[in-house]
Amino acid sequence: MTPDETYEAVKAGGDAGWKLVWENVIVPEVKSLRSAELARKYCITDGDLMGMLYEDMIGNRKIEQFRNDGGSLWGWMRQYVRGYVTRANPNPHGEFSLEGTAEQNEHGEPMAIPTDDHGVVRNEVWLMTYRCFKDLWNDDPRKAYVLFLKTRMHLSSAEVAEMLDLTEANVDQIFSRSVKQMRENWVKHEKP
Amino acid sequence: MKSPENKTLSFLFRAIPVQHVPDFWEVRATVHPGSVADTPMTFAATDGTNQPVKSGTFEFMGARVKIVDGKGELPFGEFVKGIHETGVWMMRPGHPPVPGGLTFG
Repeated sequence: MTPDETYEAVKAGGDAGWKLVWENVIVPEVKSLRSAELARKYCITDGDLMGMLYEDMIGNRKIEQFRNDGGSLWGWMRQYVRGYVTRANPNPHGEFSLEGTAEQNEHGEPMAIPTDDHGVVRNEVWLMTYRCFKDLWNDDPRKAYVLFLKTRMHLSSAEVAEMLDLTEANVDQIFSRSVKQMRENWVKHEKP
Repeated sequence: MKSPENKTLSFLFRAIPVQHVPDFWEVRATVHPGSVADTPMTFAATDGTNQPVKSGTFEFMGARVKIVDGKGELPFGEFVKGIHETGVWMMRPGHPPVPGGLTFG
């Protein structure tokens, strides 16, 4: 199946396309180090994620926002799945009450204080971003600048193009490649 | 070649990890709104103790920026010209040359 055919099959919402989504998006993401742990912690199953993704892509027609210009459809969809897992955190600000910690379990023992520090998790994500960005810079500084200007400085493609004497299409192309490479770098650094 | 009219852009360059804290450096390069080729970009350089770099040369993507009392300048056009270059070094008297790179900060 060509990338265009795959995209059309997924967009159609049928079994053929969504079987591929299961194999290429849900299963690898649920097995990834970060999402596996969070999904287990927040009691989300792979079936839940498939349902959420289907509802978003087909029900809310998000699939139409995919630009289909050579970027990875699976990578793009995995970002959504990661978002569902991250946002499933019932206590996103890491707050806990002292009263809550004094509760007892069924054996009458005091329940444990939460041990996961959300600040540390955020810090790790930030450090990982730095590592991946450093690799991108070492590979091609222009990719790093375009990514930085678009995602951190919030410039449009037209503004970046005018600034760096490039065409808008060229900026989009470099940006798409840099995002792809950041994802690849992330996977590379995630491996133990 | 022109930067956005209503936005100040800044890039943070940082030394690779070094053994001795004073050898570390950090440079914030600022592109001012509506910069064209000959508009100066400004640089603020600090060392590992967060003090301004007294004197040195920031070799930046093929160009050399003279740093005096933590400050330096470079025409915006020179920056755009060297956008493919990875080489970023800080050279200071009394310190070894230390390379670095752009950060996401």
